[in-house]
This record gives sequence, C-alpha cells and structure tokens, in this order.
Amino acid sequence: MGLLTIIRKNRQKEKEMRILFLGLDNAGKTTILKKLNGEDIMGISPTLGFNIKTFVHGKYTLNIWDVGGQRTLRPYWRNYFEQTDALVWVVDSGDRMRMQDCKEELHSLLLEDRLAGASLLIFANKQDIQGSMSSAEIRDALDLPSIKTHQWRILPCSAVTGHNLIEGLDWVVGDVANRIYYSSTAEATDRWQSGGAVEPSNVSVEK
Amino acid sequence: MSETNQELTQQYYARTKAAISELTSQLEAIKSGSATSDSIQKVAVELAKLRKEHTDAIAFLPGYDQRQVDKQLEGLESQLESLRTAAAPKAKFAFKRKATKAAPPASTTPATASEQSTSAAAPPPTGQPSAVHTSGLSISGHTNSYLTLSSLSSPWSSASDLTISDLDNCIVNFIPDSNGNIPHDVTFTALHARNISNTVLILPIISGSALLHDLKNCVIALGSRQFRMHTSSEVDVYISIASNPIIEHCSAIRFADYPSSLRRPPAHDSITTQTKSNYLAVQDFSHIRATPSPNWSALPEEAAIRDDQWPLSNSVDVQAVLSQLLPSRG
Repeated sequence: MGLLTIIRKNRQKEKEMRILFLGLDNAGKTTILKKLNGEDIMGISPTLGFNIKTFVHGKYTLNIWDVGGQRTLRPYWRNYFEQTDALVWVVDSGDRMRMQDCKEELHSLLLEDRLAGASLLIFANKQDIQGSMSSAEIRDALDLPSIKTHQWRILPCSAVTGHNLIEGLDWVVGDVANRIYYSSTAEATDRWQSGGAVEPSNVSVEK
Repeated sequence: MSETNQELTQQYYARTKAAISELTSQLEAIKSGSATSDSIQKVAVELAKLRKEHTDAIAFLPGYDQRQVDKQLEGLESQLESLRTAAAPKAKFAFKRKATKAAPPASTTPATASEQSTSAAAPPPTGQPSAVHTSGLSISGHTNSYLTLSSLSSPWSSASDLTISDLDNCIVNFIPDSNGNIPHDVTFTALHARNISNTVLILPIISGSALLHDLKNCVIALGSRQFRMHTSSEVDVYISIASNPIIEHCSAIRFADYPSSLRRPPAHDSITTQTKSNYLAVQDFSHIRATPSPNWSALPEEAAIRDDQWPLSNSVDVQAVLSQLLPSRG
C-alpha cells in the first residue's frame, strides 16, 4: 500500500502515460502514430524493431511504444509490457483471413500479468477501404465481450483519413487518468461518459 | 547520492548474479523433482522481483551488463513458463480460451492449416462464418484458368480491398484496359493473397499495402505502398514500391523492378507518380543480421521476364506460358 501510494504520487507529478501499440503486421500501427503526429504516411516500411513517439495530449505526456507485428517479432512484445498504462490493439479490418490469428494473439496478451489493469483500446483500422469489416463484426470476431479483465473499447478508424484517431487517444487518456490520477480527472471523465462503466478507484491520492 | 554509478553497478551485478544462480538451481530442482505449483509460484515471484530490480537498474547499468542480465532473465522466464504449463494447466483463463475455441468448431482448424486448400476452397479460413467476403473483391478457388477483372466475385467499385486465394496453375491479369471491356478507373486499395501455387499474378499498382501468405512457385508483378510476404518459396517478385519490401519465413525469392510495359498512365493514382522504386531494399525478418539474407536475391536480368513476354492476352495457352515463366519450370 505504501509503495502504491508513492508510485501514484510520483506519476502524478510526471503526468506521463505509457501506451503500447500492438497488433498483427500490416495493421497500420506505425501509420496511425505518424498520422497522429502529422508526419508523412506514404513511405512507411514495415517496422523492424520498434518506434517510440512522445506527444503531449491535453495535460499528459504520452510515451507511445509501437512494436513491429511480424510473426518473428511477436515474441519480443513481452519486453515492452512493463509499466504499460494502456494497450492499443490495432486491427487491419480488411484482413478477414487472419481474424482468428488476431483474436488469439490479443487474448493471449490479456493473460499477461504485466498488462493486468491496462486499458484496452481496439482500433478497427482501414475503414476507408471498401470491403473492410465493421467494428461490430470485429468485436464479435475477436470475441471482445468475453474480456472481463480489462476496460476495453473498440473504435472504427482510418489512419489514412485520420478518422477517430484523436477520439481513440482521448478515450485511452481519459480511462488511464481515471485509474491513475483519479483525483485530477474531472474534465477527462466529462468527455467520456460513453466509455463504459468506469470503476472508481478506492485508493485515494494525497496531494 | 553518495554512491557512484560504478559502485551501484557492482553491487547490483553481484546481487543479481547470486540471485540468478540461486533461481537456476531452484528451477533445476523443480525440473528433476516434482513440479508443484507452490514451488513454481515461489520462483515466479522471485523472478518477477529480479525483473523489476533489473528494470530499475537500467538507469545506471552499462549496456553490456543490461543485455547479459536480460538474456539470463529471459532464459529463466522461458524455463519457468514451460514448467508452469507442464505442471498445471492454467487456471481460469485457460478454460475460457478453450471454450471459445471449441464453440465455432469449423473456424480454428482451417486457420492454422492454410495449406489444405482443397478442403477450405470455398470459404476462406476465418472465424467469421456469416460475414465472410460480403463485400470487397475476391477471387478464389481456380485451377488452370486465365483470370481477368471480369472473373471477380462482385462488381467492382472505384476503390476496394482485393483478396486472392487458393489458386493453382493460373494466370491472373488485373491490369485495367488490357481488355476492351474493363473499366479503366478500377483501383485497389489493399491486397490480401493466400495459398497460391504455380501461378502468374499480374497486378496493377495499388495505393495501399500488399500482404501475401503461402505462395509457391509463382511470379507476381505488383506495385504497392507496402509489401509483406510470409511463408512462401520460389517466387519472382516484380515490384514498384517506395518503402522496404519485407519477407518472413520465405526462401528462394527473387526481386526485380516492376515492368514498365505494365505501367498505365496515372489516372487518379498518386503512387504511380512516385520517383524511384525500392525493389531491392528487401528486409528479411527471418534473418535479422548484418550478413545478406540467403532467402532472397536480385533477379538476374537474363532470367527476368521480358516486357513482351507478359501474358496480357487471354488467348494464350496457360500451361505453355506457365511452364515458360514460372521460377521452377517443368
């Protein structure tokens, strides 16, 4: 308990959040981040290793880790789990052939102790492409309703057009803020009434 | 701070070394004896503590020591994990996952065994029985055929996802206007291909990414923003790309530039106007080293298909063309 309080206090000072972007290869993780950061998205190569992006979002500093999703890289995902506040799982909505694979990878991540408690945002990316699955279809294909261990939300988005990217980040930040910076998140909660039932944390934070 | 980094490091290193050897011997003991979940749990807790300490120590630890300790910890963690799964089937969550897997019985098997194309010819392997390919363009389950845009499953629209799967001994020509009756403005925004053998794929330049699985003895000509090929062998790739093409679990792949004879004047497709192609900037994710990957090479000019050799007319003899153009002939 003592330690928890110290950690919370410490983080409150920093107002930092660590967000991990994962998903199968070709999901669009890097493209989403580059788009959010206002960078060119045309010449992006598949990620060999990882990228780190730091943005200021509202009054928080987000450290976003984008780790490559190729099969040979997936065993290394676990090296990035430590101290993750939120997991953003990016899905290629057009990749019907690998939805099962996608579901299995996601659900095995959720068993990870080190990700316990992290907020989970699922980005149903590539909605600009005709023939993509809707977010409702993906919710069912990934069996999201069975997830009871994490706060989750699914948003349809497009990295190419930028649709819903900021909204997704808003939800993640709001949800994490509610857990970690409980006392200082009035406006974040106001913005996200729809983000699912947010359980009040019962650990108070002394200023 | 009274201690220097060096002292901290020495202290940390000595402490960690002792702890790691202690844990190693405990793990050995568990392996040789009976693995009770209690003893494993104890080791797991110790290991988690070490991992935490290691993370904290990263601030002052030199890179070499970091990697050494990291490696050792990883080794221990994987040993522990295998012991854990061997000793006790995981408690509550394992049950949940099995249950969901068992529920749609048809879904899991084809997804893993994608080679069994014959049985799964009709619906592509997905956990989605109803909504499969309701929209988007697809072509699937052909042998010994010459396929063009008019063979597509549904009427095309201006921009769409293209899925090609389960083809054998085919020529696929999706270059617009090679045939009088094909609309010129058809564009694809993404390509997914799976389980294709002994086939020549002639595709236009698409504006999105291409993802290919399980190709064997094929020729593919394509332009795309990204290119990923998995678990394939003996494929000649003629590609126009601005990023790095990547391969993973592949062998005998050869790369060449996209043939100029297939390029069409840019309609509204911005990517065709790009300056240079990166077709030889291939990254092999199965071979992440400084040495060149043994799994791919540049296609020598004398082995490449000449501009006038591309079978753009559907009047060709498919078998004759295939035996002439495929990487592994005969």
